[in-house]
Parts: sequence; structure tokens; C-alpha cells
Amino acid sequence: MRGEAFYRNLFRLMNEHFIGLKFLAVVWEQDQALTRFASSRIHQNVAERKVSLSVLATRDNKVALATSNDLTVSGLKTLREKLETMLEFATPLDYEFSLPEVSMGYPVENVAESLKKVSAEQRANIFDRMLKIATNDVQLFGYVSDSVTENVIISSNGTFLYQSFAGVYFNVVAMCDSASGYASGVAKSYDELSVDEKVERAVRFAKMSKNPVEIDPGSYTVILGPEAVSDLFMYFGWLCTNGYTHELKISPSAKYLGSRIGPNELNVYDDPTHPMQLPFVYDLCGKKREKMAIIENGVFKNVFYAHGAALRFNKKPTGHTLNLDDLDSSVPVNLVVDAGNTPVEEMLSDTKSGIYVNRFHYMNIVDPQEAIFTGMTRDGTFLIENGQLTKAVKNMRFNVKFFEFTQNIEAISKEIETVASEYFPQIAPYMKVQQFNFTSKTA
Amino acid sequence: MQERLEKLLNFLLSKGARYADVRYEEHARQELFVENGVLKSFTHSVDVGTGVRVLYENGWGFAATDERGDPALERAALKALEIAMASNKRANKEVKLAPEPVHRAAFKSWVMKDPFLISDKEKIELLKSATLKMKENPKVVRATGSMSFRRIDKLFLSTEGSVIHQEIYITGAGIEADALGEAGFQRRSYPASFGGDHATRGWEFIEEMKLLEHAPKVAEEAAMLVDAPEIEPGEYDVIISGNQLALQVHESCGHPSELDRVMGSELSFAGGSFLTLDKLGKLKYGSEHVNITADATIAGGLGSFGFDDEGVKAQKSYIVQNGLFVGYLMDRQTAAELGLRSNGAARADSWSHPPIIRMTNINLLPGNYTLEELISGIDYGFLLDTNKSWSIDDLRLNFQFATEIAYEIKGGRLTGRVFKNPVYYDITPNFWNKCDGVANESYWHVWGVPNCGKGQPMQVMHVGHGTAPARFRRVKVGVRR
Repeated sequence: MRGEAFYRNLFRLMNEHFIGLKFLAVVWEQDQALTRFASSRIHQNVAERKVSLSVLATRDNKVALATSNDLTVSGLKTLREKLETMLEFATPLDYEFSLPEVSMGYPVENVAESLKKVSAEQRANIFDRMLKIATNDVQLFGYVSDSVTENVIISSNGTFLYQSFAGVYFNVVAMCDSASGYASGVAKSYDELSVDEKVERAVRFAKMSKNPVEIDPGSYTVILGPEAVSDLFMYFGWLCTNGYTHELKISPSAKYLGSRIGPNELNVYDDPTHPMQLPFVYDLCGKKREKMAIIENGVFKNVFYAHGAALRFNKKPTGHTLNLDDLDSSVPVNLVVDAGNTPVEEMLSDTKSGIYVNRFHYMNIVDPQEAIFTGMTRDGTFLIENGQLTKAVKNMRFNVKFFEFTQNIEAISKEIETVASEYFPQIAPYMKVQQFNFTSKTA
Repeated sequence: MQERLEKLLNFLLSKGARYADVRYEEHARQELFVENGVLKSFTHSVDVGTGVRVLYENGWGFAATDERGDPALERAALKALEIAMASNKRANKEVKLAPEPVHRAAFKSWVMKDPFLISDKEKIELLKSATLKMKENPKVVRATGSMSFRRIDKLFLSTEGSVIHQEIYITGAGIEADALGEAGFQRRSYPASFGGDHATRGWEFIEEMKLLEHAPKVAEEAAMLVDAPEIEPGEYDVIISGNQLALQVHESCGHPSELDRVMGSELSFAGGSFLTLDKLGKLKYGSEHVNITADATIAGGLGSFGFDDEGVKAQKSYIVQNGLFVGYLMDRQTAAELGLRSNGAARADSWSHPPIIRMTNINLLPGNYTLEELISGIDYGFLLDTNKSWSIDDLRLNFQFATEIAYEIKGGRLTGRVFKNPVYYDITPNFWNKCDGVANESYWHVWGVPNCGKGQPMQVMHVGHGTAPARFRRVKVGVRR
């Protein structure tokens, strides 16, 4: 990684070579490595090192964005030339645009020393550890990955912010014949990653998933594991918390914001300060990100405003500008679904009849107006009878209205886990939910 | 550059590599986004780097760098080798590569008008005009238009002696109208949803779209949908339009025929496949009307190229022939496991990622019907158009799609009545066996899907699907909630 000193020099160079231009620049630099395995052998093993410098320039209320991975003086000159040409042809925005206010802060460094020089051999050792947990009749599929990221925000009005963060991630599907179990994990370093316990769970679920029974589609009481809960709330966060679409009334939030949508113990935050999260401290406009409630005591409390949406609708930006090429859209990237009051064992033992869902697969939005989501169950779906997981169930498709789903939450577990979702790590508990709607089954 | 990369490959051979290849790529990209006549986003990006892939005995390693000097390239090469050695220590299977002739060749996309030479003013004006035209409809609250242009210049070299230079252009555009009324909001898109249509062509592709001429109808249909009824759930005869069938082919034929998926390489992420090896040449995937090819040679198709990212020449092969499942998408390693030649489906989305098996252009071949003939064969049913949502299980069997609009068909004719929020679902082979007709070549178009996600780290690939509208009997439409 180039480090803070290199970027302080870039700040100086940019202000030297971009004189007369109002700009906001964002650098992403990432060293990432990933070891992927299938059928209990490594089949893909990669490392990449890349950087990008994006410069948003503005003049006469017009904006243009140019990006390059050439950070030399000659690269900066080319970027400037490109921006000048683009600004010539760009047309003005329909609201008064201004760059974010000056933002200053201490460098934020969240990279464990042990992560700065991880070798492929060390990642492979984690894979070896996983193999020892699996028995001979179980095959493992998944990945182990680590990344170190530097993010720098520079502006013509004097902003210089530097943050670095790192994460290690894994997921594993354990296969026992055609039966499967799944687990994933995220931590700030390999020392903190709880691999063994989760791999053991995936293997146990795979063994329990043999000989699944077929059940009819319909409405069932379900207990959702943290992986499944995090998927539902990720889609909710993406679809329903964007202040821009809220103001245009083309978001479900137009109907539900301010309403009670679930029980008192339902609390959902975007929280970069949570100890189990990988914190993203500043947004790309340099706005310090803070813990913000999305759902508080069962009430849908807030939507978020990126820089452009805030200017346009006269709102305060909330620290959710994550793309310089889309200054309107906001996404909660440190999503935390908070713990409830019920131990998961009690949640299970209190369930006379229902279905346990470990994980969903390929979720999507069916109806963006009512937040109707669909998806399949996968890697560990079980019948619950008299408080016990008794039989594996063939995978089912669900279609649920998110805001009915939240009203039907009966219990939220005391236990929470960090899961490696497709995009950002998320923290979620187990949930017991009534009338969960399965609409078809697989072949 | 070629000389420097040749030196790098020789260096790797001297260090014990059994095979290595290297890709140096320069990507240029321009994107424009206009909302209600206002240019909201105008971006240009350049991304340059080198990826090195090494096979050491039976272990693979890959490393990529955006640094440009020789020492940086050597560091990346050594890193790839170190990674390959770590893989090899745990190898429990011999890695074989299907033979491929050495190629020393060049390829360029079918571009008549270089989109990077068209003035920005012309691009912006077209999107402004189209969005303002849609905004004239009083129910439209948000009218958007986007354009995207890419130029990928890549140089591939392998230790087997191939040297391939390719210059690939990608051009795409689309418009969308969001209408709002008391009954809620609805969206209509043209020529396809989620960013429109894309091809490995030039500006002429945008001109042929006639965005401005289509804008009023897009707005009108979005407005109509706001107050439209929903379809009563049941089984109906349906015609699925080309742009929706493109995604249907993508999810239920393209992905399951990827041989790496069949062999488990994607199991922990996107899943496996029901098209297991025992089904090759035996499974009746669809009716006799269903013929599906993988064809990277189609002029202008979004999944077209000269050579894949293992240096295999672009080809056409059958996946489904007269309804029978007959072939996979393969790279050199998986093809060798079946004793076959690769059909050229190993692709990487960037210099920073290794090639994995991807779709090229996966096409439902045209049939013999006119659209009117297909419609006339339906007593009561629907024509479903433009994708709104998609989901399919981890073996690619149970799927559910939503489309933006359903046009009612009664007594063999379109009635003019539209329905909102249509959803249909089925099990893949059941569905394709219900196909009793595909429209003819004059309706056939290669649709571009620019955002196919696969792999870890995630790679986003551009692929194509040639389709024409097709008719399916007794399909489940609508979900009881």
C-alpha cells in the first residue's frame, strides 16, 4: 500500500495541477487475495493490487467525473485535460450544486499488523484447518480472503481525509452426498476469525440435510438464521432507505416511513461504530459516518441522504455518499440488525411446528412499490417439530412483503453474528417469524 | 509491450512454471446519465493493468498489478508463482489443458462509427430530448436515459507461443419512465430494462435504437400500468418477448451449462447445476422447437470476441439441439476432463481477474412463425415483456421472473388491455418443454446483458443472447400472497 504520506503528497500535487478547478477527489487502493476451493481442493488462488483516482470537478453548476489508475504527474495532467473537455460539453444541474464543506480529521487506520504481509501459504493453512474439521464423507467448497484498503478524500477546498481498513472473510458450503450446510464469517484479522465453530456447524447441517422431505407451499412459522435475516434486511436497506427515491415517492418508504412496522425489540442501524463491523468512517464526500437508526423500537425512523439528494431536497447529508457517479443514491453499508431478548435455544424449544431456514439464495425484488422479495432456501432447511430440528426439507421459494414480514416477527435472538454478505459484512440475529409465505418448491 | 511480456513469460518458465499466460489490458469507459432533461452524471475512466496466470505442476496462481514498470511486472509474476506453489502443495488431481493451436492474431469489434469520436454534445442532446419527451406525460415523475461506451484493448501472450491483440468496443443505451399515481408507481423501459441494450458495436447501434421515437410510448405505458389490474393467479398460455427471453435463456440455460459450475467450482457462491455429466446427450431439456447455441462469432453480439482469455479461438457450438441437451460451456481445463477441445468460454472481466467460464452469446435459435401467428394460437393468455425481476435456485431449476408489463391476448388477438406486476414461475426443463413455437429470424435480435455476476472475487461480464418471441403453454402466472 502507498500509505498516508504518499497521499499527502498527492494532495499537494493535485492542488498544484488543478488550480482554477473546483474538485473533490477520491482514491481507492486495495490489495486483495482470495483462495477458493471446491471438492476439498484449491482450484483458484488469486491476488490483485489496484488503485483508482476519481475526480469530480464542477464549474458553472455543471459536474463531470474522470477516473484513472495513473497517479503520476502526467496522469494527473491527462485527468485535468479530460475534465476540462467534459465540463465544456456538460449541462448545468437543476439544483444549486456545491462541493461538500471542508472536512478534516485524523487519519483512521484500522489494519492489523498481521494482515499486512499475509502469504498464500497462510490462507491455504486456514483451508487445511477446515479440511481437518470435515470428515471423509464431507467435501468443502468456499473461499478464504483478505483485503487491505486505503481510501483518501481530497478536495480543492482543503479537505484531506485518510482511512485504511482491512478485513478477512470466508464462506464454506459443506456437501455430504447431495446434502449441504453453509456458514460464513468476517473479522478484522485472521486471529479474530472464528473458523472452526462455523465450519463445524456447516458440516453438521450438511449431515442433517440428507434425505429431505417435500412439504407443500404455504404459510409457515419459521426460524431464520442470521444469514437469512441479513439477506432480507440488506434488500430492505437497499430498496427502502434511499432519501432520493423517498422524496420522489417511488420508494416503499413513502408509505411506511414513520410507521410502526414491527415489535419493540426490532432495531436496525447503520452503525460504523459497532465492534463487530468493519467500519467505514467517512463517506466519499468526507462526511463523518455515525450510528443512525433505520428502525427503532419497531418504528421505521430514517431514510438517508447522499450529497446530491441532500442539496436538491434541502436536507442534511447523512454520510451515505458512496459513489461519485451517483450523488443521489444512498446505501447503509454498516448494517446492524440488533439483538433481541430470546435465547435461540428457547426460540427453538418454544416452536411446536415450523421450518428452520439457514440461508437464502438469489433474492430479488419482485415489486419495488410494496417491497415484495423472492428467493430460495438453501444449504440447511429443516422441519421443526416439538422444539427440535427433525427432518431436512427440500428447498422452497418464498415471496414475502417485507413490511408484513416485520409485523410477523415473534422473537429476536439474544445471539448475533457477523455474516459475509455478497457486498458488505452484516450483523444479524436469529428471528422467529409467523406466516412466512412459501409459494413453490424445487424439483 | 509484447517484448516485455515475452520476457516475463520466459522468466516464469525459468522458475519452474509448467504454463503461464499474461494479459495487458487498457480499458476506457464513458458513461452518461440524464434525468428529466438534466445531465446528472458524466464520467470517463481509464483502467490499465496486467494479470499473470501461472500453472506450477498442478496448482494455479494468479496475480495482477496496475503498476507499469518491469520490476512491478516481475513482482506480480513471482507472486503468481508463489500462489501457484501454495495451491500445488494441496493438489490432489492432475491439471490438464485441452490442446489449442498457437494463435498469432488480431481482432477488432464490428464498429462503423467509433463512439469515442462522436461528440459529447450529440450524446447529451439525444438523452435530454428522449427524457424530456417522456416527461411530457403528466404521470411521469422521473424519466431517465443512459449511455455507456467501452473500449478494451488487450494483449494476450502464453508460454505456448500465442500472441493475440484484441480491440473490443461495447456500446449501450436505454431509457426508463417512472410513473406515479394514487395506485402507486410503475416503470417502463426501452429497449430493455436495467440500462437498456448493449452490443460490441459502435455509435450506429445507438442510432438504430431510435430512442426519441420510442420515448412517448414508454411514458404512456408506464402511466397506463399505474392503474392497471394484476393478473389473477393461474395457468395461462404466454408469449415471452425477446428481451425477457434473453434473461430466461441466461439464467435457465446459460448458467447451468457452465462446466465449472457443473463440476462444483461455483458451489459456495452462485450454486451448482442440474445439467450434471450423466445428462449430457440424454436429457430432453426442451421441446423440439428449442435449439440453443453458444456463439461468440456473431457480428456485434455483446458476447462476441476473436479469442477468449485463454487464447482459444471464438466458436459456435450447440448446448441444446432439437430439445436435447448436447453441450457445455468450457475452458481448457474442464474440456480436457471430458476429452474435448475448449469451446472458448474462458473470460475475465478485467486484467485484475483470472479467466473463468462465462457465457458468450447464448442464443435461442429462431423458428418459423410470425408474431401474429404465435398470438393467433392463444385463446386467452398474455404477452409478457421486459424483465423486472429474476431469481432461480442453486441448481437452476426453480425460477421466478417478473416482467414490467403483460399485454392481454383474447381470441387470438391483442386486446390493448395491460396488466401490471406479472410474475411467472416454473421448473426449467418443464418450462422449455412447454415451448410450442419460436418466432422467425425477422424478430431475432441479440440482446446484450452487460452485468452478469459470477466468481469470487466477483467478476461482472458482458454476454449476449439472441432470441425471438416464443410461445409457452400452461405456464403458472401470478403468485398468491
